[in-house]
Amino acid sequence: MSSAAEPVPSSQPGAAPPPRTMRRLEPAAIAGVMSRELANFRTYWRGTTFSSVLEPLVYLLAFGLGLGATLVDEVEGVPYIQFVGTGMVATAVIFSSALPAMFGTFVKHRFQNTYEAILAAPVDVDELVTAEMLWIAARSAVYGCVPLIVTFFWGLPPAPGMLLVPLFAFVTALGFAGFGITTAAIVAKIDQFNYVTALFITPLFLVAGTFFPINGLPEFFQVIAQANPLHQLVELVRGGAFGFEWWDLARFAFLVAFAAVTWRIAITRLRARLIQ
Amino acid sequence: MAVEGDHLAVEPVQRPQPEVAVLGQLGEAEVALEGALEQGPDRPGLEEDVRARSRCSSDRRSDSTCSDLIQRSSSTGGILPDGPSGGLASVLGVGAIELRGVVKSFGPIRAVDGLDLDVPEGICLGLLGPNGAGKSTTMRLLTGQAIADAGELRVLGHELPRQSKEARALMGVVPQLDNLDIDVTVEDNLAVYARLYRVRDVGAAVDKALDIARLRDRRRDAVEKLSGGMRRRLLLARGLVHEPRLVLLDEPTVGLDPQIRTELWTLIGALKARGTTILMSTHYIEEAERLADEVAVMHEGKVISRGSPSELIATHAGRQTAEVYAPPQRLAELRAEAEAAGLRVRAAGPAIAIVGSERAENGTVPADAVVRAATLEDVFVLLTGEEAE
Repeated sequence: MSSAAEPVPSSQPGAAPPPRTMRRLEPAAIAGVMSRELANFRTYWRGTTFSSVLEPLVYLLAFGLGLGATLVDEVEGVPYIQFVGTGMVATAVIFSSALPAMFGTFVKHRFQNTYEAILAAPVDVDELVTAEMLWIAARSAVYGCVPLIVTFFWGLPPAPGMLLVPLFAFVTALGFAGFGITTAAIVAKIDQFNYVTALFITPLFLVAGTFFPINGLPEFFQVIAQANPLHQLVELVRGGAFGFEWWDLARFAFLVAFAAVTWRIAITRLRARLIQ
Repeated sequence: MAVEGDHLAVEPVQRPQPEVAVLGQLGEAEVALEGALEQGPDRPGLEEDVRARSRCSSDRRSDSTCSDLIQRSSSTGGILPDGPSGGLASVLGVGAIELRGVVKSFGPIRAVDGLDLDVPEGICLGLLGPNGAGKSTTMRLLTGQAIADAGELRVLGHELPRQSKEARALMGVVPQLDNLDIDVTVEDNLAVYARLYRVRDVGAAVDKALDIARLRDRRRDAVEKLSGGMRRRLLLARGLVHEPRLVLLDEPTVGLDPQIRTELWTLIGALKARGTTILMSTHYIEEAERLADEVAVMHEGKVISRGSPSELIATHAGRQTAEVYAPPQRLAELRAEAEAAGLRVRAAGPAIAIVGSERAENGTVPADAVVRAATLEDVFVLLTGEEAE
C-alpha cells in the first residue's frame, strides 16, 4: 500500500471517490480525524481554555510571587518569578497533553465507541494516533505559551528566541500525547490513571527544574532529570528567553526522539487494543 | 446454497475464483447494472434480476446455469444486460462479500468457526443468529477491526486484511451502539465522516444524508437534543454519507421501540430498493423476514442454513405449525408421540409447536391445536435451539 494513484473524480457530487490504492499515512485521513476533534473542541473550548490558563497561573502566582517575595529573590541571575514563569511552560504543556491524551483516548475507546466508528471508515490506527497526537500537540503549543505571556507582565523581556517556544512546546506535547495514548491503551480501568499520575507525571513535573534548578538536587536525581523531557523543555524555553547554548540542539533532538518513540509505541499499543 | 440443518454444518463448496476481482475494472456490465439500479425499485424486473444474480453468485452455479437464469429473468422483463462480452455474466463472479473457512478465536472461545459466506452485490442478506452466534465478530472482521486466524476474506474485490482500507472506503457501517458525537451538531457529525470517507463535495454529501435521515431542519442542533429515533436515523445516514456500495448493518434496531424500528425499516427498505448491497446482522426474526432477500442462519460461528425466508421455511418447517397448549405432562406425551411419528417439535413458551404438522397422521395433532402457517421463527428455533426474539 505504498503507491498512491490519483483519485478519479466521482460521478456524483456527494459520493466518495472510486477506490484506489491507499497509503499508510494519508493526510486526508489525518485531517478527517482532526476535523472531528475540532468539531468537538468548538463545543467545550471555553472550559478547557479556562482551566488550561488558570492552573499554570495559580502555580505561577503561588510560587513566583509567594516564594519570590518572601524567600528567593533570584535564581541563576534571573528574578525568581521569571525563572518560574519560563519553567511553567513545561507544566502547562504536560497538563494539556498527557492528561487529555490519557482520559480522552480512554473515554473515546471505552465509553463512546468513537474509535470503532472511525476505524470503520478508511482510517488506520496509525492515522488515528497521528491525528490525535497532532491535535493535542497543537492545542498544547498554544496553552503552553500562556505562562510565558503572563510573565511579560512581571518584567520578562521579550526575546527573539521565544518565537521558538511554540515549536518546543508542540514537539514535547507530541511526546506526552503519545505517552498518554499508550497509557490509555494499556490500563484496564480509568482509576488506574491515578497510579500513572502519581508514579510518572508528578515526579517528572517536580524534577523538571521548573521551581528550582536541578543542580541543587543529589547527583542521582540530576542524572534522572536529564532523561526527563520536561526538563529539556524547561531548559529550551529558558534558552529562548535568556539565550541559547549550543547543546540546546541536543535537547531539541532529544524531544524529537521522545515524540517519535512514543508515537510508534502508541500506535502499537492502541492497535493491539483496537484490532483484535 | 448448503442447507444442513440436521448436522449444523455447511458442506465446503468448491467454487471457482471470482472472474473479476478489482473494483473499478468491471467495465460496461457494471455500469449498466448500476444505471439500471439507479432507476429505482419500480423498474420492471428488478426483483427478478437481483434474485437471479443472487442465486448465481451464492450458489456458484456453472456459467451456463447462470446464463439461463439471467435469460429467464430478462425474458420476464428483467433488467440485467447480457452483452457481447458476457454482459452481467462476467460481473456475477464478483461477490460483494466472499468469506472462505474463516476462523476467529478469542482465547478459548471460537467466535467464528470455519465461516463460508457469499453476499452477491445488490441483495440484502440477513445474518440471523442468537447472541454469541458470531454475527458481530463477522462484522468486525469485515471492517478490519478483527483479524481472522484462518480463512480468506474478500470485500468488493479487496482481500482482507491487506486491502482492508480500500474495502472500507466502499463500505458503510451502521453500528449496533450509538457512537455519535452528542455535543456536536447533526451536520458536523455527518461532515466529519464525509471527510473521513474522502468525499469531495462534503456539503452536497451532508445535504443528501440529511434528506435520508429527514433531519434537514435539525441540522444545526446538537445530537443530544434529538430524539432516540432521530439519532438512529442519523446513525444510518452517517453510514451512507459517501454513498457506499455495501452497507453493514450491525443489529440496526436492537433495543429500539417498535415505532423507531418501523421507521428504520422504511429507511433500510429504501436503501435496498436502490440496489445497495446490505449485510444485516440481527436476532430479530421479523426484521430478517421483512428486509432480507436471503437469510443466513448463524450458529456457533458458522452458517448452518441459508435461503430466502420462504425457502428456509419450506425446507425446514414445511407449511404448517400446530401449537398445542396443555399441562406439562400432557405436552411431554404429545411431544413424544409427534417425534415418534417423525415430526419436529419445539418449545413455544407454555406450549409446544409441532412443525410441519400438515404431514401429521390423524390423531398425532390434537383437535384443539392452533394451526398456523410455519414461520421463520420455527426454522430459527429448530436450527439453533434458541428461543427467538
